[in-house]
Amino acid sequence: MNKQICSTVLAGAMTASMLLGGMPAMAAETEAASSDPITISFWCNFTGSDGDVLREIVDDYNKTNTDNVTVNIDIMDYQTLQAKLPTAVSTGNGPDFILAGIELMQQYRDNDMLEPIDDFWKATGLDSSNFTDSVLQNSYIDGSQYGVPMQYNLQYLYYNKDLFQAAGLDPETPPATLDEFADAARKTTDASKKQYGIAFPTDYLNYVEFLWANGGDVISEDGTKNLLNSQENIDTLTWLQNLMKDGVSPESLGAAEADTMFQAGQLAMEINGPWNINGLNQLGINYGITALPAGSAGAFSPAGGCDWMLAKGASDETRAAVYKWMAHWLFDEVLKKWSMVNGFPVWSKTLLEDPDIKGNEILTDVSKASTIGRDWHLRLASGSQIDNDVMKPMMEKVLAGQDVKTCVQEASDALDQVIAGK
Amino acid sequence: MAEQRMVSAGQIECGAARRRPAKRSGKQTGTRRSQKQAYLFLLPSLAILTVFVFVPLIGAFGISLTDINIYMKGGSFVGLDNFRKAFHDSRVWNATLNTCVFTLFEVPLQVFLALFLLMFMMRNRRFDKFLRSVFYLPYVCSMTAISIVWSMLLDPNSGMLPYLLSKVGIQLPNLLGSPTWAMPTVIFVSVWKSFGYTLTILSAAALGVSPSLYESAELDGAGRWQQFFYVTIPGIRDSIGFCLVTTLITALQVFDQIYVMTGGGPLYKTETLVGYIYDRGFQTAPYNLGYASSIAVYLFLLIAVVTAVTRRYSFGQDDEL
Repeated sequence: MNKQICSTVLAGAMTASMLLGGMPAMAAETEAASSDPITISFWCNFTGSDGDVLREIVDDYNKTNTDNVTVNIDIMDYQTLQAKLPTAVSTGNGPDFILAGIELMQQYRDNDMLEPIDDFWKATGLDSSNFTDSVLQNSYIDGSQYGVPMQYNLQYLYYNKDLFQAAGLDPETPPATLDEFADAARKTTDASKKQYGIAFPTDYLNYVEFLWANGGDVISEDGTKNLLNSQENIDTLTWLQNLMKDGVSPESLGAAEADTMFQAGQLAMEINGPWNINGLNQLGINYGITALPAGSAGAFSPAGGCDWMLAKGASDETRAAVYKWMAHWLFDEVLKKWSMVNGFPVWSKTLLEDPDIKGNEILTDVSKASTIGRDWHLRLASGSQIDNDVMKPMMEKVLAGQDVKTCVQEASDALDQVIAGK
Repeated sequence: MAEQRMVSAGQIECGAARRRPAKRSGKQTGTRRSQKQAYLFLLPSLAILTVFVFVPLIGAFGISLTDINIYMKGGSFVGLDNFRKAFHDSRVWNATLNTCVFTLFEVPLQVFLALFLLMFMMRNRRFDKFLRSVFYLPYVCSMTAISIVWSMLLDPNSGMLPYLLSKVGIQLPNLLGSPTWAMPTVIFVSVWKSFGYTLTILSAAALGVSPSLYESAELDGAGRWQQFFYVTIPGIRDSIGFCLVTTLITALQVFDQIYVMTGGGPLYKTETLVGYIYDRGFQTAPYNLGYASSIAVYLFLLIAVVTAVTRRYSFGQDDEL
């Protein structure tokens, strides 16, 4: 019996010593594994000058990081990304992570393209409370985190201060209401010089802000209720059509042409995201930026932005490496560079106190104008269908001068089809 | 009677084979060897065609019977539902009409323009060769690049053409933004880019027409125009047929220039079938590849029928392409 007990104790001791003795070795191995070189890749559609800045930040990280992580970036245009990415991820040939618009997150999640990253804040030790909560909330679906914000933006009103001054308007007091906006558009239009007050591009997908401003809407946030065919919307669109009839905007132009015209000083005002800022600064245009004008119900602007998202099927090593890159992006110095060069609003609370940020007039204006964000079908997988099959044809017809009531009725019927999933 | 003839022909063949077995066998061996060689030469092209044409084609037929989306989700069999839906989709009919309008104008214009210019370039002088090269240049350029250049040239606010014309008192409308002018403009750019290819094919064919025919015609008192219409055109009839069929197939699949120049607008006035297929499959939720494939199958059948009819009337009844 004693022998049995002794042998059992000895065996136990040996096993324990083996296990305990092995633990440091295992820990060392794990440490070694974590510092093994790893290459991770992401796809995005930053084809403009912002893509150059992004590439610069990636290169800097690859040169300086001590995590043994190499990040590869693959930039392609939006349509190519949209066409290639789903098939690539589904067949396991896609990138390790994705940089894409937050409006795509819902459909990516619904189609099993993303890994949840609920442990991100814990794993990286970052303090999520340092970032604006409304921005972070866009990365969550049904309580699970699927992304880390890369940038956040709304739509803003750009205005050319020189053209305002020439038209007798105060360049330091941009229009704050829709009436002031219409008045400024009319006053700054001079058709003989091919100079217009504003541009209403036919392919601009955010006219919803005008509907919201006067108390209208398109669809409920949960995507079940059609709110399009309302008197508020008909009145707003009639007002917009009348402005168009007054000749304040060139006819049948695209958003890209509107950018060119604003840069060329042919447009007094333009509504766009902050990605225009870098180009305008480089061209030395004397411009200002302000919040979208308010209507009877207030001022609203559709929220947008881009998130880093982890692609489905990522291994633990890849996940760890991607987390390191995502955490790197959230460092104030990286966010500062991004905001300073590209003009995107700051959403890190510590960075907001930075003297350079505080002293930057455009960034201050952008940050002030970024408080009126509103969800525009961000959580609806049918978002692009609402844009392409409902809003775009309706706005094209309204801007072409067709009967507003009929346009709204047709768009409302199309929206019914979208809601019904047809 | 016909059967009797066949039988007797067969008997003759058999008899001939019995009478000259050795010679026949040698010929057969040679023929088989050369056939094998021919198949070997065909193999690389067949392999590429199989991977990039036949398999996707069969795949598209299969996918059109499902509701699979771009994320490879769904995939349940829906039978002919997608075809029924397409039949009731007004945008499919609108796209069909636009595709037909584009084809009906682009193809004849391209061929007639090439024939017209050919009339003045029959002598194959150095200047003719130079002109042929110049006309061919746009064809080797990317359609996307050309479309972007034309969009910029025609831009009503910053384009060079509206600006220059305004200097002589002509106000050019917004061609690409106008529901009336967008399609004619796209057709013009397509013809401008591609007629050089047709001209090159027809020039090569015209140079192959025997000079003795022209001499005879000249002796008979035929003028330059008569020679062109009664000697050149009949002499290059098969090449004209070839150009018609190939440009027709290309025109029915028109996409790049419209995607870049108008995006299918304004008000869907330039949306074609391939553009709509792309939109349903890759641009608009729910990215239904099954539905997009059903329209692709419909387009395939449309092209097959139109091509068969064109071949029937473009070439002699006994001729083969």
